[in-house]
Amino acid sequence: MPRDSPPELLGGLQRWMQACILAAGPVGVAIRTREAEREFPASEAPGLIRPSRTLAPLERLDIYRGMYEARLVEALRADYPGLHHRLGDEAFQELCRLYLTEHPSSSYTLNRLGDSLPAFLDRVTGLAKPVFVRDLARFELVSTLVFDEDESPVADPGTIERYAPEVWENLRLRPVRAFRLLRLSYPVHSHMHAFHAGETVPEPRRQRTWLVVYRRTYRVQQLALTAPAFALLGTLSEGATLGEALNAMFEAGGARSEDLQAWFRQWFGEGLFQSVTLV
Amino acid sequence: MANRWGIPDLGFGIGLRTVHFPHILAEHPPVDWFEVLSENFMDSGGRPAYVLDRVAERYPVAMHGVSLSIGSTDPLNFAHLAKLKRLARRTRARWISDHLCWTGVSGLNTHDLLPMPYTSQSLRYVAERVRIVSDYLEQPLILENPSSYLEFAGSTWTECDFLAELADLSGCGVLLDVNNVYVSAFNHGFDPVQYIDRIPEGSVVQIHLAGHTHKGTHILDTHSDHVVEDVWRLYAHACRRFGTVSTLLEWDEAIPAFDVVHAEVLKAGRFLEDALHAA
Repeated sequence: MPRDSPPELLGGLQRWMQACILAAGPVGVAIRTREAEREFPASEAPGLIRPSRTLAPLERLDIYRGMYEARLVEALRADYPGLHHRLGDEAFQELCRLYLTEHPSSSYTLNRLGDSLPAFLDRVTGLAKPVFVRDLARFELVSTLVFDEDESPVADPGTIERYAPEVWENLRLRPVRAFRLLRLSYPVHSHMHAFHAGETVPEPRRQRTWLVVYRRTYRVQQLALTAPAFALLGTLSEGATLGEALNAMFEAGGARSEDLQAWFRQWFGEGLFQSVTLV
Repeated sequence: MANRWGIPDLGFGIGLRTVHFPHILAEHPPVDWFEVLSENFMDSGGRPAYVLDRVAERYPVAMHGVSLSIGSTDPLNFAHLAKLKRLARRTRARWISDHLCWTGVSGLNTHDLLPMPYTSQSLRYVAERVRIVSDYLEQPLILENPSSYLEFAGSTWTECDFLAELADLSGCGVLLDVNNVYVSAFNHGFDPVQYIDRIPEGSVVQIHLAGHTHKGTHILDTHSDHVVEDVWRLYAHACRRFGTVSTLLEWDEAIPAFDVVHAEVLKAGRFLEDALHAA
């Protein structure tokens, strides 16, 4: 046998078993899917597995099918607790079933299983308050990304003052890695604070919302921004200089000088930047 | 009795779980060692990484994986192995273990520990992959006997003989999960004592203990409860055969307070002492 070449029978059994595990519906349907029958005809399926004292071959296969769905739905529920709460158990489970059919895991980790769920939700019809539900999913995805990001150094609040004011427009402020910007139609962060605190979650009301989601002392946090502040941070995070970012901000509505000072004081205080360099 | 690599007996450890992070960081409980689920820390740079570093500073650590998929007919994932090796170096892991199973094929992952057909062909195939992985990791790979809910009709080897032969052919160590032996023995109708007696004495590097869920027709390996009396008796038998071996308790569902989990693994000391006195 060539080095590391897979035996054909082993490969056939594995492809067959996986096809049966991933298939929707009862086990009798799973063994008749095209993927399963490509390896073994349904009539041969019971003969591939030994019966136990108590279970028939396909009942034994069905144990794995049940555990697959339970495990992956649980992983999605852990990443999307707000979405699960909003939709309820049954609807969330059905959403996950549909999602997993289209996006089965191809990674060694379950951490990023739900990365395509917000985009998938964009195509789901029949949702109550769909814009809110999609905002909620985007917010929860970004929160998991920020949670898992690598640590980076944090520039102290006095860093920018080490430069003469006349060169500030040529400064480049680099955000920490655990930093994401999010533009939403609902104040989802307030909704989720109430949810995590176990408070009654009010019915959401539309309100344009600009957030920076970041991590401080290993906790995921959010800061609500104004539209100009969002534009400023967005341009900075793309690598623009402070001068270029300020221009973008003025196009988005502008700000008073005291606003700017207060923003940067807060942003540096929250550890949003890892470095300041003169270019 | 030492294993053939001279890997030391670390005593009685428990699996590192998120719900226990605050207690471990604050109290530094007198646990002999921790086992870390490798995939939970490979891609997470925030709090999990911080906690793992603090734990590894203070306690011996061993890595335990669930996604190596050593029995899969897909090619080995060297990106995964590179991360595993980096993590093991960072934590100064005493050994690296995974399972004798496959988790997916055709680029997908079911995130379950799926059973192998035990044939001479699959034995040669897995042995070659174990050698490649051990060479890459620059240390012997330690493989755990999985719990399983079905057996393939085409198997020509018993699992214990397959594992024993694999250890001999490939040079892998054995992580003997006593609860898994018990679970599979019930599910497939074999004698768990004979299973343990077939495992070569110098090959066992670690023992796992856990609770399970009896469903009447079969037993599920849920890690959701105290270790049952029959499994403790089986553990005592393993102690008589293998001597003092690093022993670890897994608890993954309905996880109780840290002290409850710790107290459960410390029960093992009593069984070990009785077994050694009786020997």
